[in-house]
Amino acid sequence: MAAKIPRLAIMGHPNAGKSSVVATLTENDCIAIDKRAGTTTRSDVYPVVIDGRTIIEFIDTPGFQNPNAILEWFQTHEGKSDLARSFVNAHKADPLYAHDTALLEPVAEGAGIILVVDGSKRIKEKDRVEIELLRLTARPRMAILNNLTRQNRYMTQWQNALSKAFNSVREFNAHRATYSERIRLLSALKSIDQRWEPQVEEAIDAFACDWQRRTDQAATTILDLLRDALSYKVSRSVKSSKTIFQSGRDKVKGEIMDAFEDGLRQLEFDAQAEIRSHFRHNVWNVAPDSILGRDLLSEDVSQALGLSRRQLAMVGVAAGAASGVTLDLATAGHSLGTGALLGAATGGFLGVMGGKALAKLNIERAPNTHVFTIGPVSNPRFPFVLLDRIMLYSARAMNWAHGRQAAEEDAPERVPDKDIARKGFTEELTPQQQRTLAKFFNSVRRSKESDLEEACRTIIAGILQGVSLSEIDSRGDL
Amino acid sequence: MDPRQQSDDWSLADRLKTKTNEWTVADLIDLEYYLDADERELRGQPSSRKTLCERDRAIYRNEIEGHTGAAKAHSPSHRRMSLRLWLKARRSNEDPSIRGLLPGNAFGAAQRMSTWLLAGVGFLAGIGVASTLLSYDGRAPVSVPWFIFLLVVVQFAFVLVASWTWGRRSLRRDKFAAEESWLLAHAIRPLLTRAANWLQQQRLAHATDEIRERALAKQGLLQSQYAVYGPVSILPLLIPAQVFGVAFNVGVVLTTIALEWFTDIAFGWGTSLAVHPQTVFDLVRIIAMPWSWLFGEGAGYPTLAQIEGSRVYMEHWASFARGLNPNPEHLRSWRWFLLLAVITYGLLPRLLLLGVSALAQRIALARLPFTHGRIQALYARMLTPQLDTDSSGSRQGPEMPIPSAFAPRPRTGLIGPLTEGKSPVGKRPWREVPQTPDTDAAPTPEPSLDTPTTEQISVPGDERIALEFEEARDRIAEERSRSQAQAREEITEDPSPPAIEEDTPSVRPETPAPIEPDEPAEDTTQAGEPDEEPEPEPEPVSPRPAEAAETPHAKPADIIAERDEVSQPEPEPSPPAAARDGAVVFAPDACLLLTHVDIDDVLEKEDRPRLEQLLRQLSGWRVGVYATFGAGSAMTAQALAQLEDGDWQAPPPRIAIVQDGSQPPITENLLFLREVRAAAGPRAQMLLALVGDPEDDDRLPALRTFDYTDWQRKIDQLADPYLRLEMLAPSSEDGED
Repeated sequence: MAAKIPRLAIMGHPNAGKSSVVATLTENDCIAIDKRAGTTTRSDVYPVVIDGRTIIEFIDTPGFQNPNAILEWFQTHEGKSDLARSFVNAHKADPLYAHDTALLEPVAEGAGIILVVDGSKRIKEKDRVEIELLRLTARPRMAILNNLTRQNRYMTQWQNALSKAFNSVREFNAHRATYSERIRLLSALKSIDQRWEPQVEEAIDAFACDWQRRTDQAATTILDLLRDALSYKVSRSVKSSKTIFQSGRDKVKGEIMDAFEDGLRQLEFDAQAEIRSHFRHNVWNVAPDSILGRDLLSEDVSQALGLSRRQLAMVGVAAGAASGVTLDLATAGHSLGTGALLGAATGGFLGVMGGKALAKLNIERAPNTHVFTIGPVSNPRFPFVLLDRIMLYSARAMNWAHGRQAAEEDAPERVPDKDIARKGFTEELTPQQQRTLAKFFNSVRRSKESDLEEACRTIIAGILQGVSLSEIDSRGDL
Repeated sequence: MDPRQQSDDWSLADRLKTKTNEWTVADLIDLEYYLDADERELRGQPSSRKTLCERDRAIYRNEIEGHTGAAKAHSPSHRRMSLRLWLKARRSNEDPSIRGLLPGNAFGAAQRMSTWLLAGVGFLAGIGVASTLLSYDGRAPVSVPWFIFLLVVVQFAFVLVASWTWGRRSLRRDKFAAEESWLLAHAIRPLLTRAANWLQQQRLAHATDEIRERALAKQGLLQSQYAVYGPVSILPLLIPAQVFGVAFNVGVVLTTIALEWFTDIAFGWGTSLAVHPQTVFDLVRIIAMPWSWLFGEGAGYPTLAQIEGSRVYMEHWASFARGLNPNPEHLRSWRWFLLLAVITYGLLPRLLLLGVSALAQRIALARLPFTHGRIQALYARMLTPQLDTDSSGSRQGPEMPIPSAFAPRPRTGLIGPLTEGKSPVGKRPWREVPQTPDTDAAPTPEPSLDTPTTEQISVPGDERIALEFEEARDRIAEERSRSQAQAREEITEDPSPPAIEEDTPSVRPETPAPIEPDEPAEDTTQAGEPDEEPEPEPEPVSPRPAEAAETPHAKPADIIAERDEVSQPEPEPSPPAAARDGAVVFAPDACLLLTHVDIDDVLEKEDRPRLEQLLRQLSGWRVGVYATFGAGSAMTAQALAQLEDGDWQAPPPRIAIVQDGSQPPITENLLFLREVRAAAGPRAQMLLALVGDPEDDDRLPALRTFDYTDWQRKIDQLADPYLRLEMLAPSSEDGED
């Protein structure tokens, strides 16, 4: 059984990015990747295990240390049936060839070869030597042009040189590869050895199912977040004596407001952690300059995400909710003559969500105590912002290549993240979908079970799916 | 050569400035101290290179230039003297209060003191031992055998063992094989090394890569220090030991004389074995042989009768000699024998050893070539007119096998697995592409002797055509290079390599075979335009490899390599040590430039002068001969042949290696360095210059600091003291990459 599993040795010279490729392909960001050359000193096996069954094994090998010598040895012994095996046997004991035997060992055992080359550099003698010697091993083989920069001038040269000796040549940026690119690369494995077709097929299917499952999980997480955030309330009892003066009331209001905001932030934070774990990221987190790094309730965020003013109005009217909220807001300030409009109390905050208060503050009087209650969120804009943000986060998580950890983000000429219009995801939904969402938000706010939940789930899952297949842009710049 | 004066020597020499060419151990220590300080400064702060350059150049111009006498730059004596003067200048620039604290000074003082101390201790010990052995209370006579055994036999045995090991060592050192005795080399040392390694691994296993890497580099540096100064570092310890021996014997001799003069001592011998006095007499005569010509029987050593008379039978003496009345003269007869024996077998050999080790030290010092890497850098800084270069670095690198040094001579010429001497099959289709057009002339399965490799400037002589490789192609290449070489000779005067561009691409391999082998004369006519090449009709093939081919010509500098006799039959390039007559002569400041094919392939004609210029700034060397390496063992073999066939003036050969530093160092690169070292000899000066990834507008860009440090770590681990690592082009930015 085991022998039938496709095994693929990822080869190349030191620093070509082998480990990054393996990390990305196997979604394992715990593989040690170092900018320094030769970090990998032995062959490590990274199996793809699905349901406890190993489907494919990727083997991360050390870089070639003596390519010229190996090639010459191969050429002198060209008659031998299994060059890799004989080479390994002949040089096992020689410490100078420790890396070389380690990397040829899997090949000797029948593994296929994936050669990783750095497509941004010109072809060097070493590269030609490696190509030639891998050709001589006569194993099924494929080449990956790992180009991390915009430097494309050598790519055709590489294509030409590689295609002479390899069954398949693919470009693959280990630092930018998305799910769909990974799947395409895997599909290409079928072509290098037909016998592997069933297994590769199965692996791809398994990957796809797994991906589907993760997307669904993510959608659930997102819905949960929305539900939790929109029904979130904070209340606090305060002795009446403390609320006699305006200053005392303001202080209490400020505290409870902070607690409310922090609660919302925490909810988002937890949801993000959940999303991360769905997509198996252990080390990744968002870049500090991303909009995801800003405060959830900050002006920038509400500007960048959520629906446009017009859309919001349309949605509000249609859903019959927004107007209700405004009414609430209008009356709230004077009701009972004591409760002030929250926004009035903490002026700066009010502006955050498009000029509307985030939530309503209620003060109930009981003998000797006041109960301050804030929430649920009444601001019509907020749910869309929140949704956009968590979607954005999910999109990042899905598309963040696992091999990217050691990337030099400031390296010159690296491939830029894609540019796109600064628009949230929800803004691009159809009005019908936006309305559905708005209705759902409303019912959640009132803590009612909604029959719209399934519809919303579909919408969210649809976006995520679209992102992973690159049909919907992942808003890399936000 | 009294060792005690040794240490005074340097200060004296310094003060009197008489013999500037004399080096002492203290000088070396100070020199290393200064070099180390400079090096550390450089590593810590790359930008300080400029300051160092300015300083050293200033010292050279002010204090050295007119004082070196007739010696020419790059000659060993010039180097010795310059460095000595440099050291003097550095010392005198030191604050007077600090001057006394310089490590060399401190070492000198410590050595002086310990020598005196050892002498005193030895003297006292001698007195003590002798007076103990000679203590005579009037009852049992002093035992002659004991005295002889302890002070003569044992001592002499020590001397013998010491000189035997020493002689053996120095013999071996010349052969460079095993420096130690068998036991040391095969049992003790490996054990120690393994234990030390194990310990280190244990410790290093817990350390980060960074630290491990640094520790390994340190180890390498230490090793290389020892390799440079090996004998010199041992002798300073050996000499005080000899002083101790001498003092000890002086003590013994003086005590013996004093006791014999001022007291009456009875000497006797006894044994429980059945030994006939005649045997003892024979033994005594043998021992006394060295002085018997001066002090004969009866004076220098006792007669048979006296020996018989001084025999001690315990039973007689115990009962106080009833009827036995030993002749007192017999009992005294041993005195001069003992004294002379101690002088002959104790004092004289020690004196001799002392003299010899002092002499050996002086010779070792006089033989130091002063060519190891750090000195190369200093020397280049002194000789090179102001320049701006920059290097830097420190840190990082991973574990990859570091090849150990090869035994010097027996070069296999092939890297790696091919060392077994199989014929190299270096098929490299991509390298042969450009040649295909003309291969029809000789459609051979070129055994890897790809022409691009050797830009053999050295190849004269028509005979060789017949000689070497059957490949017509090969022959063509050689012809070409020969003609070029000739052309070059004429060009000498106008070195400008102009107008080359057009025909260039094709130059090398396309040469229609028949064209010129037979008309060498024609080539010379073209002298004016060297670049025209003998083969004007070359079809421009793929430009890349072709460029590589042109390497040999076009650079004015090659002229330096004057060929002895152009017409001489020059043997094949491969077998080293072949006939010398046709060999390229490397002027005292000319070097062999080995360029990696990756670099060579992209270099344009106009880059050559720049390459030479940069090299010149870095090392002060001109380019004698170009060769390439990096595409297989055959190419390596040819490059090394250049090295071995060369006739090196100012002996330790000079090799500059230009490598692409943007690719991380791999074992193969290090192996190549080892190969070159093995072929060039242990003290040849090697410079490894790294270039960054070539760009369009700059084919010889500076290297990123990150890459440089990566290389530096590896090179340090090679522990090759005569190898120097530099960036070819000064890094533009200070510090950051």
